[in-house]
Amino acid sequence: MAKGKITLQMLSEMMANNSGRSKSSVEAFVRVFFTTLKDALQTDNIVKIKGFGTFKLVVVSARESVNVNNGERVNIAGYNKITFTPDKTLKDRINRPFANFDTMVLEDDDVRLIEGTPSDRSEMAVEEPVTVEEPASVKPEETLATPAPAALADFSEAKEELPQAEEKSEEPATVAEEESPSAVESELPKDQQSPADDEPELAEPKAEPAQLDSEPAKAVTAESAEAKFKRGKRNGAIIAVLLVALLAVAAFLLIPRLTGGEEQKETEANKVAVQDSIAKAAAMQAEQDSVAQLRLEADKYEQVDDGDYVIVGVQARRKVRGGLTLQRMCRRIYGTDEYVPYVLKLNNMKSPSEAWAGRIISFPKLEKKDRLYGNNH
Amino acid sequence: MNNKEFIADVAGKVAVAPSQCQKMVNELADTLASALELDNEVVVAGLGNFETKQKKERIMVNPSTGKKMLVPPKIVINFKMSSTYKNKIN
Repeated sequence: MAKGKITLQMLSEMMANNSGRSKSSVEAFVRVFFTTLKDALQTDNIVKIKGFGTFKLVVVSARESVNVNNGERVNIAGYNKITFTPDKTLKDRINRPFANFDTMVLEDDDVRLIEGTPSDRSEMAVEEPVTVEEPASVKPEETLATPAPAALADFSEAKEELPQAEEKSEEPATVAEEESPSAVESELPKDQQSPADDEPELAEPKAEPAQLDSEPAKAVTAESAEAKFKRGKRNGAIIAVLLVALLAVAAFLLIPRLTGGEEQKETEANKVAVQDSIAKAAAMQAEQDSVAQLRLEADKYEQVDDGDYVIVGVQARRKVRGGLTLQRMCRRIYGTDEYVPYVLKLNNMKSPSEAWAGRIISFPKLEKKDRLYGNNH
Repeated sequence: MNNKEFIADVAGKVAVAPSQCQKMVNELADTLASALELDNEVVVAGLGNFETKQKKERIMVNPSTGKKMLVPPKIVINFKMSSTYKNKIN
């Protein structure tokens, strides 16, 4: 799904068109807006803009994590980041296609709790509003729902022909902002003029106002909102695949050009290779020394039979405070509660429930069994 | 920095009244929303970009009642810092 990139200049143009202000004043304003925002974030850590949202500078602390390939503990450094939470008006505006959806309670015997994962069943969102909705609330929703399918039709249509759609789709989009039933009628003829004329989605916005009179709005809206979003994305995906195919052909043509430069690089590679092998030999020796040392240490402790790790010492000792579980203590020390069996073994405990308040638990230092004893142990 | 200070700051630099400035901010937010609705990314050079993401529906447990609830799908705005800005503040 290729997303069009809108620059500040394009945004200023759109804003000037929408507001009727002069392009130059709008451009200056937009530029100043974001420069002030940037500066403000450096002096204060939070900038709140009414009608827009809140920008916050957040400090993310360093954390211990596990390298997925070899299970070793790695450290992810701390860093600063900017978070943006949109204002209520902006949030609601963006979420318009799903405006009528509400969270609902699921009874224990609900079908959705048994079958598969929620993501597979997002189409099923269609059914729930029909059953839960009260008759009184249908009418106000009907008027709100009508701009939504039209808006989402523009959502996916515009994706397909971006350069053209840039101008034309602005019209139906701005019209969609008027949330009144009359807007729907005027919108439909405009839809006919827009580039994606032969889209099947076009049939639906026309059919829906007729259906809406007889059925509750939510069900149809939901189906079209979700399905159209997905269909639009699917079509975008097809275009992406075609582009990738074109790129592959281009790359294939460029390969002969690249192989010419290899002779130069070979002699340099030789020098680097010699240096590398010296370094490697030194590293291997150092590793063998430490492995021998660790094996001696490991022999002092009783080991877990089928474990991947070997206990080679004591890393920490902690007193259990009220309410703490062994799992939580492990997570604090190791970053994971995978090593609980080793803790139990080291402290001669049969189960984590033996970790009563006030007891002092020793937390073992662990090494991978493969490292100390090779692949066959 | 709160809203009043920010608007006053921008208004001063562009030589407009603060009330006009707030109106323009609202218009800017509106334009941003229009651009995002058409599934575009709005790029602010040197800061980052705004884009929309669709969230699927999911089952959650209400911590106060303990009941299972279905959270509906929704579309949200996401802001991602650019790498230049990332390096600047780190």
